[in-house]
Amino acid sequence: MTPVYKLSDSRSLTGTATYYSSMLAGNAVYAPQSYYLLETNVLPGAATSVEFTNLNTYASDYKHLQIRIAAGAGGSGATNRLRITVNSSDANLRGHKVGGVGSGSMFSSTATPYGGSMVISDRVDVSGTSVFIIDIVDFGSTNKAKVFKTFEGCLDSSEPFVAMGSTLWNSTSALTNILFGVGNTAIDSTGFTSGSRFSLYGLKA
Amino acid sequence: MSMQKILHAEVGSGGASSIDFTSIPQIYTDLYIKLSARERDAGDYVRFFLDINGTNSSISTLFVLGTGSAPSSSSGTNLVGHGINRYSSTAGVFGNVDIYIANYTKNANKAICVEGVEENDATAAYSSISAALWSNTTAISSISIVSPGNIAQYSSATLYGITAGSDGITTVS
Amino acid sequence: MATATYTALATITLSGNSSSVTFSNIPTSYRDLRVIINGKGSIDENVTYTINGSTANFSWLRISGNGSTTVTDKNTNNTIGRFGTGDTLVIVDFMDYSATNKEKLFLIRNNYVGGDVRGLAAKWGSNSAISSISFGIRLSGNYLTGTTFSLYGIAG
Repeated sequence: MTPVYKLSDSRSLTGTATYYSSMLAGNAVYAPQSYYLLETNVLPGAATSVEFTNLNTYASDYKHLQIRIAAGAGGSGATNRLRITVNSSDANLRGHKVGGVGSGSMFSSTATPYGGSMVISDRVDVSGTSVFIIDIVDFGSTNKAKVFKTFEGCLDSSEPFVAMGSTLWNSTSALTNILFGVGNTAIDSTGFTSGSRFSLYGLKA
Repeated sequence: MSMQKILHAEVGSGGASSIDFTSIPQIYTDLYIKLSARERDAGDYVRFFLDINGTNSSISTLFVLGTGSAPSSSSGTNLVGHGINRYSSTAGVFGNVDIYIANYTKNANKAICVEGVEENDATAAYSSISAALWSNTTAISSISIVSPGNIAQYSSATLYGITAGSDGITTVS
Repeated sequence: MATATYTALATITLSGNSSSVTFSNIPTSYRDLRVIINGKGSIDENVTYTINGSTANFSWLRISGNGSTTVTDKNTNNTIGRFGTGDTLVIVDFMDYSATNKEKLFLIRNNYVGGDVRGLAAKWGSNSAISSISFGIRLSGNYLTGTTFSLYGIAG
């Protein structure tokens, strides 16, 4: 078999050369990866809301999405709810949650939208940071409604919170945008603090 | 980069009795499954099972369950978690489940972490965090996701392999 | 442009019993960390967390179930979660670990079929970037031979 010169190693056709029978020899195995950072937004200043848009453009390359949030809320109230709209609306949204506040009993509850948005968490810390990992499986399917799974935590000293929650967007339409805001009765100017971080990841399949 | 898709399965017309991953390569450290599924048949079984290497025996589970109105904790054998949408739940809604299996090739029992949510446009929806254990030291070469109510068309599951390693900078001792 | 991430940083499989395992020299070039711990302990006790050499400024709360009852409680110490004498799996997500303008929150799934299943949120109340994390077992427990600890970095 005619040998293949690997010029990157040999540097010269006249000097010492290593002969291989394949151009693949000596190279690292190509291992396609599956978990990708798509977008990230670390707020340079306070902001009323954060929105991921054009999510449908990821559907051809990714099967699942994940959103990671580490955020604080503005304002002075101890309770600031994390709210979302999907495709710029609160229509067709529903949620459930199982969690605890560190005292008393655990709870299991359901919620529907009000104030033009859906509450997906009761606690965005006003004096620190709350964290959320949101998984959206098979987000690009037009045969299914979209279901978000959330694992969240807040260690506000007066109102701590840990929960696993879920949100239903009961629509088979393409998921295009998700907006996050803060407010007790509606998304308001409370907003997120500077340095709050929102990252979007895609998982291939 | 350490997460790679191994296999992906989509349930076609007519549904299926299970979603199967076979001939799992033995080259990773952990396995991770993302599942979006719904029961095909009436029965509202809520929970799902894993057949590992062709058997659903030797699995024990603890879970915390939320129903939309009351939390509870229970245990079981063979079942693994919740989050395959019940037959009677809102049409077109499929659950959202993450399954993590550590050290699946190791000569030791296999610990499994499950987070599963069912959604439903009503008060009742079943979600759980589960700890499961496959008490078998054999390496895992196949996994089947099984629902007593069978699995509806458009359900899907993706199996990922995760590989531990070193970046040459971080140290551990 | 999309960036492939979920990078293996360090891993160890214990060749003997050990009272603690420490990840050090953690680079600050990622956004989040994930730790996977799987194995058995010499006693059934809490996991102790030490970050950057400090056992102070921790707080946590949990939800858990043991197969019959559910519990939610909280505390301000570094003994967080549980490692059992039977097979245990702990998954820890440290969020924004490299930030220098916020406290460090982490989410934990703690799975011990012989004891309970727990979901926890915890905080290390420091704005310092995390460069080392040490896991021990309360009351001088040991991680047994064969227990594995793996660390991954996630860009963000």
